[in-house]
Amino acid sequence: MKSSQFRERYLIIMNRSFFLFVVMGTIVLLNSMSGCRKKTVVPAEVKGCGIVVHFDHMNSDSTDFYNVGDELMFDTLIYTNGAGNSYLINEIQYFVSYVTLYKSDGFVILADKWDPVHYVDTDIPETWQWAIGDGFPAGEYDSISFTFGIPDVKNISFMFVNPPERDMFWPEYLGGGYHSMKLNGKWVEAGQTNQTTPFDFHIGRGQIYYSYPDSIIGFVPNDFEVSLLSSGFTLSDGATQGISLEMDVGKWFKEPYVFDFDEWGGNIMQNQDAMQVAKENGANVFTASLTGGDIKINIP
Amino acid sequence: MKQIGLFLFAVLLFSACNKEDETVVVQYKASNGYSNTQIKYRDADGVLVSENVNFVGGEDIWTYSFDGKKGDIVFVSARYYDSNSSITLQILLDGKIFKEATSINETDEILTISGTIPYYNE
Amino acid sequence: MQSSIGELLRGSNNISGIRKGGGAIDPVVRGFKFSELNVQIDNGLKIEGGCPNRMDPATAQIDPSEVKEIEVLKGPYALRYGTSFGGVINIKTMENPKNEKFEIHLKALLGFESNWNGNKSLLNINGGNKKVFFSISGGRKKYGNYEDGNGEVVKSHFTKQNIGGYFGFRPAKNQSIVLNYKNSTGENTRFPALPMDERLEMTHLSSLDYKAEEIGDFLQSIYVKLYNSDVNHKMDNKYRAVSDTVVAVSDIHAVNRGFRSEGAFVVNTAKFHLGIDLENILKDGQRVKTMIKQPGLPVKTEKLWNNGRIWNLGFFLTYGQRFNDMDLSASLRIDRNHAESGKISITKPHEGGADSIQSDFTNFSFSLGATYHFNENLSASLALGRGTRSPDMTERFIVLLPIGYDKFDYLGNPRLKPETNNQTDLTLKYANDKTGAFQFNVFYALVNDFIIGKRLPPAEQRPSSKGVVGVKQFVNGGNARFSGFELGWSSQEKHKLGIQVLASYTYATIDEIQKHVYETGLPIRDETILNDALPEIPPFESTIGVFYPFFKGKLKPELSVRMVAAQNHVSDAFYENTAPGFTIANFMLRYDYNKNFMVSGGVNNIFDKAYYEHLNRNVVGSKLSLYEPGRVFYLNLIFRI
Repeated sequence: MKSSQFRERYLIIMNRSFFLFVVMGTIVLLNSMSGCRKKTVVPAEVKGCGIVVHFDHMNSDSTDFYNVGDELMFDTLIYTNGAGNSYLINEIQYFVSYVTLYKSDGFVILADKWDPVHYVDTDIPETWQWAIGDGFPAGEYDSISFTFGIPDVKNISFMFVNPPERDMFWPEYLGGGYHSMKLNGKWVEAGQTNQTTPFDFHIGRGQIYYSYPDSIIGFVPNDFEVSLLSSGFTLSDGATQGISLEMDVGKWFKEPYVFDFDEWGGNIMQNQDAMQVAKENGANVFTASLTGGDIKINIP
Repeated sequence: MKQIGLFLFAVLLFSACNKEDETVVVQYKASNGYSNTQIKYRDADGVLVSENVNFVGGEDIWTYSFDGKKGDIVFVSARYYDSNSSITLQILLDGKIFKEATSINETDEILTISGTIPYYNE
Repeated sequence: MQSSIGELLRGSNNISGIRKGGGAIDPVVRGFKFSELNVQIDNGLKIEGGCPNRMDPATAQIDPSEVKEIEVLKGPYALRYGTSFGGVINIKTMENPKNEKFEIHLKALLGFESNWNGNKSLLNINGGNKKVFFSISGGRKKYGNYEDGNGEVVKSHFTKQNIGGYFGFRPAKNQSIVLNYKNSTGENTRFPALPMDERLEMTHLSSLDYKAEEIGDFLQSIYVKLYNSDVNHKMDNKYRAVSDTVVAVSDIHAVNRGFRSEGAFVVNTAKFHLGIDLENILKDGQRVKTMIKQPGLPVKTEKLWNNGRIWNLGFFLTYGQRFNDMDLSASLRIDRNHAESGKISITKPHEGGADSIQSDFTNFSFSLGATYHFNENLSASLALGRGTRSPDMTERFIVLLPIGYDKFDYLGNPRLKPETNNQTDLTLKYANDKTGAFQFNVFYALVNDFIIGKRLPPAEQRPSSKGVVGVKQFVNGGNARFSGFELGWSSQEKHKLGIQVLASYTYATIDEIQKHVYETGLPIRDETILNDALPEIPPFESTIGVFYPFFKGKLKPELSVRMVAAQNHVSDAFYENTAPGFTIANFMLRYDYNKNFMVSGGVNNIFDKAYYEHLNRNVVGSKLSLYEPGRVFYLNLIFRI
């Protein structure tokens, strides 16, 4: 075979091989698009224990014989506090944060893996339940505590941008950050029979005045710690433990200090002395009990 | 012929250029007051100014006017301490009421009205 | 009739666009977008937009009336033009005429559009002789809100002005020096799919080009370009109801300056390009929030970028040679990339602090290509490439802005690694007088260290923007895969009846991604999804165009029908919505009265169909996508002398 004929035959083979390669390559690529890599969902492995907190509200100040169990009735003038103020409750909004678990072996666990701050609103059922996390180690625990409000160093203005949390802002000129609580209602002022006066029993950053109402020279944090379940409890591996956290609204006005609306008035945001009374009473407002983990709330 | 056509086109082209007037006359007004009232407002330079105004008999009117631009923030607030007092605040843009609010017997509460001067009707 | 280059490109094969408002559609090529595309003007001028939400992508800075040609090079193969990842879009606005005698020409354009009540005008004067050449242009566009096919008004108004020109000088017959300057200003531009609107955009583009051709047998040509782009971008929420509570105004300044230089060499029959390029980006900006409902009128200032800087220096070498019926090509590129910023706190910016914010990378890219010409009609090409790109300014340094298509604030990550696209393309071309021109292309891309957003728990970072549900931080999320095809056919040129058919499809997945499963707004568990769809990938589409010239080509009607399939291959991890398919018909008529006067007009969306592109973002505050305009009549008058 002459070299030119060899070269020609070589080129023909190369051409046809290349063409074949191109066609095969096209088929391979089209096949790769056809979804031979299937979408697969792999559930996460569940480790440790979960905790769900359910928020309840009651009021031991009820004067209604038929109010069995002292369930909190809203917008109903059936309550009288230790100072003799007849009052009703419209709504309550507050923050609970940084739940801490104390293990019997001395280990302290802060539940801050996902979101350590929870907003509770008596008008929003979705907020009455809080899955504070999972992966807590099984075992014996001495107690549980939380911060009522947001800890002062974490209580930063504008950290919430969406309602409803955003609407808990505490005015900048009064210290900024967010309310610990808004407890709104009405009371019957002394000398009145049925005429009610609104009250905003609000707790947030307090002010120190050189000269009221303008010369603010300092601020006072009004978040506080609440410690519960001091008799101890057990978490079991793989299970979700429910905790029912109950607020007795009436105790805001009686233990250890009697709160008189006629004395303090309806607005305490710029009155640190009044908020101090509220803060000290607030440490006794909650009780907790253990429940089943699968608490489901009915959302209308 | 071409020159005429060119001239006409040039006229058409540049007649499309017009600039909207951005200036708006802003007036803050406080009225219907009966006592010493602290008024705070955002002035022409964007500074928050505070004035104490003593309203007598409900007929006194306090005003502040300036030339603002579309998009500017307008803000005025009032606060009184007398339990039997009141105040009405208004923001007017080119003479028309833009924002308005009244407070009656709300001692030590701050009444605020504010907004941004609208650009144009969308 | 297109109001932006993004809209112009949307008609091309496997090129889509993301609409957030009336103008400024952001192009997407084969699913690659944003910094994955190398967009440049006139062979090298690069623009850094000011808006973190990309109200002002580079393609929005040039008016379509200024465009002479747009070159789209898909894939990571074109390494001469900078780092190449998803593709290069080279927008050419300059011409280099060589008139024997001095000539001067004028072009004037008036355009009108219904539905938007849009009007535009343009005046251009150009000319020159053998020694000098020039072009000066000025134009204005004003568009109102449009109605979609349901009769709903979409707030989309914008006003844009541009002025500019270039002046060229030929010191010798084979050399030219061109000085180019453009200024464009945009005002009061609405973006219903974004939380803010553009109040003012002021852009200055300038460049100096030197070109020498036909130098010698070895060194054939030299090209040098110096450029500077300067963007001032101001946006606010003053059109939005939320500004009754908080007025937010953002002001950003972005500069991109650099150069590109290359020489072309010939050794035997092999042609080489050897070159260097530098890109230096500076970006600074802040957002001021005024709480107008609060007593005391508190003001909060947040840094969006704190003197962020990225420079990229690249060296490239390309090779091309023909062997009988085979064309071979190869490219090699090395990039050194450096990024830094002034003091910022990526994590917990509200609480102060500083993160390690400097990073340096050395990236290698290469490409190989072969085209075999079976005969004068048929050819087949194979290309292999690996393109690496370093993270951009947003991916590295952005602080809490909702820049993605989902309702999350995004957080930059200075520790991000570059992503690499390993891609192959196979192309078949066939053309002859009897069958017309046919092209079929299929591609496959494997992206390593794909940059994607990952949810951060609120304990680590809370959002800063209203209406968002949380925060995502940019991370390198493993491997992503893109594959697809493009098909095109056009009828024979000798036949008067012209027909063109285009079809394209892209399929994209990510190997592994986490999905947070929610119940009543609270996260209840995590799932790992293997081979989930990537978000924001356009569906299959096909376009058929038919035209027929009358009166020796003076009158040319054209009808096109675009058919887009439903997009059901959507991301579960991102809770992406599916999108329905649609078919749109457009008609255009062009009439050349004489060499001085031309009229064109037509109807887009003839049947006033209500539709939206899968890539259109949702209107803020709603789950509905931004709908495209309904029926639009348009008319353009062009006068030339």
